[in-house]
Amino acid sequence: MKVPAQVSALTGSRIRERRILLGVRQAELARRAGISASYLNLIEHNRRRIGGKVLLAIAETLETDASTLAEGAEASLIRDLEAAADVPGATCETDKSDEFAGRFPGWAALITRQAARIGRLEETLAELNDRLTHDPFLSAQVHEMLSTITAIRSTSAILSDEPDLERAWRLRFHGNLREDAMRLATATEALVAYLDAPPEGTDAAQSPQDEVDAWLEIRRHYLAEIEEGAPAKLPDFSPAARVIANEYITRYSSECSALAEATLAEKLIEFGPDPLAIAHALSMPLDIVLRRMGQLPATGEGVGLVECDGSGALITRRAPDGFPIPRTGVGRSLWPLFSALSRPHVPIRAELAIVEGQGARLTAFAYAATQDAATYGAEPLLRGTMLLVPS
Amino acid sequence: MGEGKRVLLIEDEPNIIEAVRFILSRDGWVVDTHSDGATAMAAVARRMPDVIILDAMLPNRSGFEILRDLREQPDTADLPVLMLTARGQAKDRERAEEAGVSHYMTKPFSNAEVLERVRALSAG
Repeated sequence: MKVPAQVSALTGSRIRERRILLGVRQAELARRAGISASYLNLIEHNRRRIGGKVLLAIAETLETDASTLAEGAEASLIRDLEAAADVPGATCETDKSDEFAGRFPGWAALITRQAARIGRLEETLAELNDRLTHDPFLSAQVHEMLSTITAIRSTSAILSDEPDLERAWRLRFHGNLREDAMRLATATEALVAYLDAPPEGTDAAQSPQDEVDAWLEIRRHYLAEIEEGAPAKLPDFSPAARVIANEYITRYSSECSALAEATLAEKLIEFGPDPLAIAHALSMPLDIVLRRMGQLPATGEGVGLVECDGSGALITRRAPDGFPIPRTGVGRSLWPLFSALSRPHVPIRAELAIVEGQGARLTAFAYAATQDAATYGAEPLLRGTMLLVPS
Repeated sequence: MGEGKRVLLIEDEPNIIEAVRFILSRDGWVVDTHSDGATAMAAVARRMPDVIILDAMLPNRSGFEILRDLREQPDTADLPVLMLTARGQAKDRERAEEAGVSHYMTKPFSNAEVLERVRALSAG
């Protein structure tokens, strides 16, 4: 058996713990190690360093390895403990983490597992919160329900607080209550159906946008039937996802008519994957060219397409090869898509290098444009579009 | 009590409009209503109110944008605005406060709360 090079200050604690676990008396262990019981007591309370033959003898008696006693299994545990203590307002004695891990390894492991679990739950919560904020169906339903509840609350308070209310008003408010109750029931049913009964074969935690994203990912965002003038074939979507998919198909059809697959294929041969040159040549809005290039196989393999609304919420996500596109994330703000959003109608071209993996490079073309006809006194709705082409 | 002072209620839910109009009218207020975000500023200019009750989510234009415009106009820069919203998230409150809201109320609110707040805003 080999004597470990490093012997920690907590070797004694581990010897004591192991000895008690095996039911060996202190005097018996001291005798077998060739030392006095009082000296072993000092070792067990970490008041004397231990090593060499004495450590080997104690390890053998305690049916363990000398290195386990000397170094412990808690090095990573201590790091995890210190990470768990690194929260605002915590007043943990981090200078004693090693002592805590050595004396109470079970409790220490529990703390680190719970800290990891809290971290995972916080990530889930952030994701769900993001969904609540950006999921158009959930947002609309919650708004509808809260507004209806407000109307019911106000109306019922009037009926209850005004005993001498004129008959005409009373009838009117009763009618409003009935109408709002029906609206609330309908909105609640739709929400429950959305939360409880996703379509068969889909993940129960999916939002309608996720359903549409998954379908588009399978189709690689290319709807051949529409390119051929036929209606789109939709899977068994939830009602809310069907609304989102139909909006997508309406726009796809319109842009397919404006820029046919064959025309774009010709221009790609003429100009290469340069959306601005193609847009100029065809006198076509750049955002339409970007989307069509992101949809059509003629652009090439591994192409990506990302779109966001004016608030930055992603509404289209076609990931290019080797470049995952999360819906949320800290690094997202650096994408050219968001630079474009802050400079509407200014085309942006940027070279991207993927740090991880094979170090692949992409050329990003980003552009933000208004999506609706101008209205007097109204702010335009912006949409950002980013095409990612392997360099 | 309203004592003939004017409130402009900019809200798109007809039954909320009816209930709020009723309780304010009973308190002596003259209540004008408007439902479209895009033309709300014109409604304000047409008949200057003493207090505005403004819903955050309106068709065509948000209440936050209307509030910013109100604060940029000299005539309405100090006009009391009570904002109503179905969204109780902290960032919406911050957004309203940044835009210069006088008071912020989350749906579902009570009639008494609205009445009390409109009276207080009118009194300055």
